[in-house]
Amino acid sequence: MTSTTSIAVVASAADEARDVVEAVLDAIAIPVLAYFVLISTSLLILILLAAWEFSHHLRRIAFARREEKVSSLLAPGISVIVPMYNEQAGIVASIMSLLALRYPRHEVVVVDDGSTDDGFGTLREAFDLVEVRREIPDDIPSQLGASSVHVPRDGWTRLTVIRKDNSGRSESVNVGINAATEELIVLVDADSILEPDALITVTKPFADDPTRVVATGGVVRVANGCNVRSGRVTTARMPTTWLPRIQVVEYLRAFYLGRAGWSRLRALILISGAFGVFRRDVVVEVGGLDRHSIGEDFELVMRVHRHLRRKKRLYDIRFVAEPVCWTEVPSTLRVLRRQRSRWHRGLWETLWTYRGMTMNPRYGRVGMIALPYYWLFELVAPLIEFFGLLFVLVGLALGVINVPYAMLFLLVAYGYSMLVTLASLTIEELSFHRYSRWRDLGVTAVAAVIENVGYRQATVWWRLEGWWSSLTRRRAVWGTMTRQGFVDDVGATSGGE
Amino acid sequence: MNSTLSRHLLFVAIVVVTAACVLMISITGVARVLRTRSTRHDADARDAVHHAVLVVAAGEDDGSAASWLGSLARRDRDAAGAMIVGLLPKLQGEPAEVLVEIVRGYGSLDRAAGDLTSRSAVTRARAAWTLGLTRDHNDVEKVRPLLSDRSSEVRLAAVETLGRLRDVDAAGPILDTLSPSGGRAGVPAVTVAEALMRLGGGIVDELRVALADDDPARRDVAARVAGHQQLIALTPHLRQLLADDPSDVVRVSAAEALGRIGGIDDAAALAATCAETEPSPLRRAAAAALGELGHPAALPTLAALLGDRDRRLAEISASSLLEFGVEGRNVLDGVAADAEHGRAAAFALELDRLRGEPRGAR
Amino acid sequence: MTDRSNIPVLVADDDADIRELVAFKLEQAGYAVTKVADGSAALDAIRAHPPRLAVLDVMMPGLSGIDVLRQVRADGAFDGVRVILLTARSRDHDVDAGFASGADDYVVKPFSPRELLHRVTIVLQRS
Repeated sequence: MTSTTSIAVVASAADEARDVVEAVLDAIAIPVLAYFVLISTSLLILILLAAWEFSHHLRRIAFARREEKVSSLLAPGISVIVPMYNEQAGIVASIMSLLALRYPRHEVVVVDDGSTDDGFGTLREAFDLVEVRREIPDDIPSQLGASSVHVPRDGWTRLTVIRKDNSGRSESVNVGINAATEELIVLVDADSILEPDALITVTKPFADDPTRVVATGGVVRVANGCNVRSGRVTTARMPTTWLPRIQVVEYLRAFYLGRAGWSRLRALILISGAFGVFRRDVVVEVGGLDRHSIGEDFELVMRVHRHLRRKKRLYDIRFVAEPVCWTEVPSTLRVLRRQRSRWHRGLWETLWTYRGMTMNPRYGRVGMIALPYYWLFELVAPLIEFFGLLFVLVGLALGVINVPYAMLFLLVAYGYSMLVTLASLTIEELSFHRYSRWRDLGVTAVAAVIENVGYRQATVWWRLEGWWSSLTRRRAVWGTMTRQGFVDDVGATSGGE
Repeated sequence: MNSTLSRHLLFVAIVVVTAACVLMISITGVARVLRTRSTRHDADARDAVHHAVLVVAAGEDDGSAASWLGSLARRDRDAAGAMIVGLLPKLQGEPAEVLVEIVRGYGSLDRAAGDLTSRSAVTRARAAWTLGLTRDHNDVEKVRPLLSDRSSEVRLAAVETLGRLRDVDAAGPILDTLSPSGGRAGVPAVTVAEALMRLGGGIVDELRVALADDDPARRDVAARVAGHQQLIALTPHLRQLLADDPSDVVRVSAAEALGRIGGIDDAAALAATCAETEPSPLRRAAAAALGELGHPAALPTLAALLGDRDRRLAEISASSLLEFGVEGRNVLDGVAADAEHGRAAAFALELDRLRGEPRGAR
Repeated sequence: MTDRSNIPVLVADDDADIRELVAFKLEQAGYAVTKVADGSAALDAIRAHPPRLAVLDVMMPGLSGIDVLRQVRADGAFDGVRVILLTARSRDHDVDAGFASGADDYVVKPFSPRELLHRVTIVLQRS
């Protein structure tokens, strides 16, 4: 073949390739735009629903006397369960603040998951623990049970510390549930900081409707940068570095308001791993946390939904629209990456495990609305965002895409989302306004903007990484994965987002 | 997608997004400014009236503080009113009456009475609650109709208010709000129960009716109130519920109530409820109730439960036995030695010993 | 009127309104009042400068009034400290629990400040 012919062949091949790309881009141009418009619009709808829920709630508490609820003889008892792994630094302050919560009847159960540091030693010293021969019931069967049980020497303080060999957070929580004596269980991370009235706030739905409510969640906020004294957040401040700042914004938007919106729809499927409240008997009935699942608390909620719907029992899972818990978020890229990767992996695995419920009318709004939404707009979103961005860049380079379209894409994908974020900030200002300084408000607004310039794209990649690692099934590493995640992530929340 | 279409869409999108963003930011900014300004005002006003209200509330007033409060300007009145309204639920006696008069002088009570028919549910609810602070029985008739208000907020406030006003005659209608007709949401059980408990012992008849009602929520509330209010006349009915109510929740409440107010017959009934055929939450409640009841007839039952397969039941039985003093401890001692069945007993004894240990100053 | 200015009294309640009200009433009657807002502070204050009488709210975060009472009674050095419990609970069972833990008297909310002062006087006279 002569050189001109080969050039012609290459040229025509390039032309064909170009035609293909052009055809593909033509085909997906509008659907991709539509997808992003849909996501943000749905989020906006959820936010409006949340705003409605908040305004209702706020007007109510304007004249609901909280102190009388505290002394109520009818308040349900609470067991706060705290799994602990190498938390020596803050565990004593954390447990002290948990014991100090305002509530007529509650206990704290700490489960030391075979820590290699001296967390237990510090607890023993601070609370004057003595070992007792308590036999922990095995309502939830566990592989590695308690090896020793300790209580404070005075015999009255309602703290129980259980030591066991290391076997992961889920199993530790299950052992804690077994040891719990009250009818409600609150699952918190060892570094979660609770509001003083958190227990009252978040158990109100249970007291209102004891036969139906089975689980509740409250609002989780970012603790980085806040003034914390004696295990209590005294003033809310924005974090000092940008990575946590952006996460504040994320939490406000997706978590804080997204959850409230779903709760209003009565289709809540996600309660944060950092803080969730359940009826003990229901959790025991479904078998506790699944120790093989990375989805943890998310997986538990799904299991509860499935179980109760199959039994055709009337039940309710509610979100209480008030800040109750503060948690440390990752401040380094490495830890953040691991967290996001793990979350998305947990999301995928749980959605896949419960795929039988999706689009299944038997499971009501959870199956028909919430689960499809999560599949389409939470699970698949990073994939579409990734390929959308890729095609736009490729198309631009090949001259197949015109600049206005590219800008339109960017605007719709990111600008609209920024608008949604700002809307959630506005609602926060109108409702709880926890950040009192003007400066913090400004920082939040700026964070809302720069979230879309690099941060979001990074989380897309990390989420896809997590998904991929799950698809390639590194089963053997699971046990260590959960624990590694727990060890290295300084205070990262586990479980679903 | 062709260039012109993109350009147009882009233009529209930019305008919409920018306008909306600007709107959000403005609302946020304005809201903050307004709020900071009003908080500052409130703080100043509060300090001024704080001392006067305190003097009146403590009953240390010779009349001058009260009349000063009565003559306040509008802005300070709001602050004083808010402070007084916060204090009134916690106070009783003459100072409370004086404070009520001050608030009445502000016109707040007349306004509240008028607001009872407001179009806004929140306003109606708040009005009902405000009237409840007066503890004036005359206001009762105004609030009663709100028990069947169309808004659940208002029904709830009405229940709370009537409880506070000790409107004994409203016991029946209050119970009705648990499950109103027309598919409305019921008032939370806790609110109804607490209101009923404020009404005192005169509501025995209404509770007796409720204990036999079709609605398990009503039976449940009635059982709890009976127990907390020490209404011994209702124990036969509670025993009946314990024996054969279709709802386990109601049976548990009946067990708890009998633990509080039962007699020897009830010890036998509760002991029977500990049988293995019964659901475990009920067994546990019955075992705890036996401890509360404290009747020696229960000792054998509790002793037998120490080795039960349900370890939590064993724990509860052990701590119940501690309530029986020396006899209970003897039983526990006897079982504690047994390696397999004695662990719950051993733990209970251990805990008891820890509690009894005298300690010097730390 | 008896001179009460030497008589130290502790008031512990996490509700600021009640704390200030009770403290004010007792101060007007001439007592030397210290105010604290929670159970741990109450315990520390009692240990550091034992008062003749402590008015403790039962429902406080952390150490409740009854917890404080138990710890105080467990230590023989504080036998001279009289305790009045202040609470919204009024059921007999809980009153018994209060007395069983070593309380000298019990005042139920909503309360009358005059009644409270009366009880304080009586309890102090008894000792």
